[in-house]
Amino acid sequence: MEPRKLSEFRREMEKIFDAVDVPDSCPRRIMEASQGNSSDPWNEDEDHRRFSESLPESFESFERGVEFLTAPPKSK
Amino acid sequence: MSTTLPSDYIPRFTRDEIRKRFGYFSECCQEYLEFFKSRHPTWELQFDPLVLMNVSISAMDDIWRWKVYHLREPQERRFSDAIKRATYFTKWLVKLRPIHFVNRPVVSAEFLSRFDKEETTLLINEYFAIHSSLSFLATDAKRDKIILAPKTMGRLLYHLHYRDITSDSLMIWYQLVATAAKNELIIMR
Repeated sequence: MEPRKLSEFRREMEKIFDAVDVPDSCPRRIMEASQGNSSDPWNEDEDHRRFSESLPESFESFERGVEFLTAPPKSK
Repeated sequence: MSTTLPSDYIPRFTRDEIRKRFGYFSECCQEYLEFFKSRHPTWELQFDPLVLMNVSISAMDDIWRWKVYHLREPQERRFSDAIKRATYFTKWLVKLRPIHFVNRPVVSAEFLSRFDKEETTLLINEYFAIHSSLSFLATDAKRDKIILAPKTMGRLLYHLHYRDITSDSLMIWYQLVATAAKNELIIMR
């Protein structure tokens, strides 16, 4: 999927998330009082780039891995 | 209500943070399904956003609990890392299984006419979890990608699908992959 369509898709998904009304598990006053935040040093863009670019090669490893799993036992 | 908290207090993830992770996994999942479609056009796969939401919330709750109860150094324990993300998202993706085959025929003739003997859809959630996790570990190791050897991939798929693999076992497994990805020694001889 081209990047523009993918980001449109993501916005749709986030609307679904909002519609489900997931409660805020950390009230804002607690966040502020803790003088920090719960964020992690997560580089979403870099992870996504690797996810997309390595998929074809990783898929070969997946299919060969399944072949290894389902191969009949070798006769002695 | 008093808002005085211990100096090392670690807040839970906020709704916005969970929303962001859910958005990320939705995008990846959609891309993943389209890739499968390009390789296997007869497979009709889909993911359920409600299940994926459940995965995101559960994994991030687990990461928060881990940070709170298992790390001692205040500076370190504020953050999770690629290994914990890999571990807990794998745990919940494999347990709740957001990806499924759509409308698999239940009439034998139709089933047989559409059945692909090479189909691997029983393992599709396990593979999504592994591939996502390896992307996290690759970024952390500053490598373009981590591709598992097929036998290693096969063994991990087997364990995730059939065995009772705990979060702690997964964490050490991903730790070993991360170590190898950074070209650090695992065995001396």
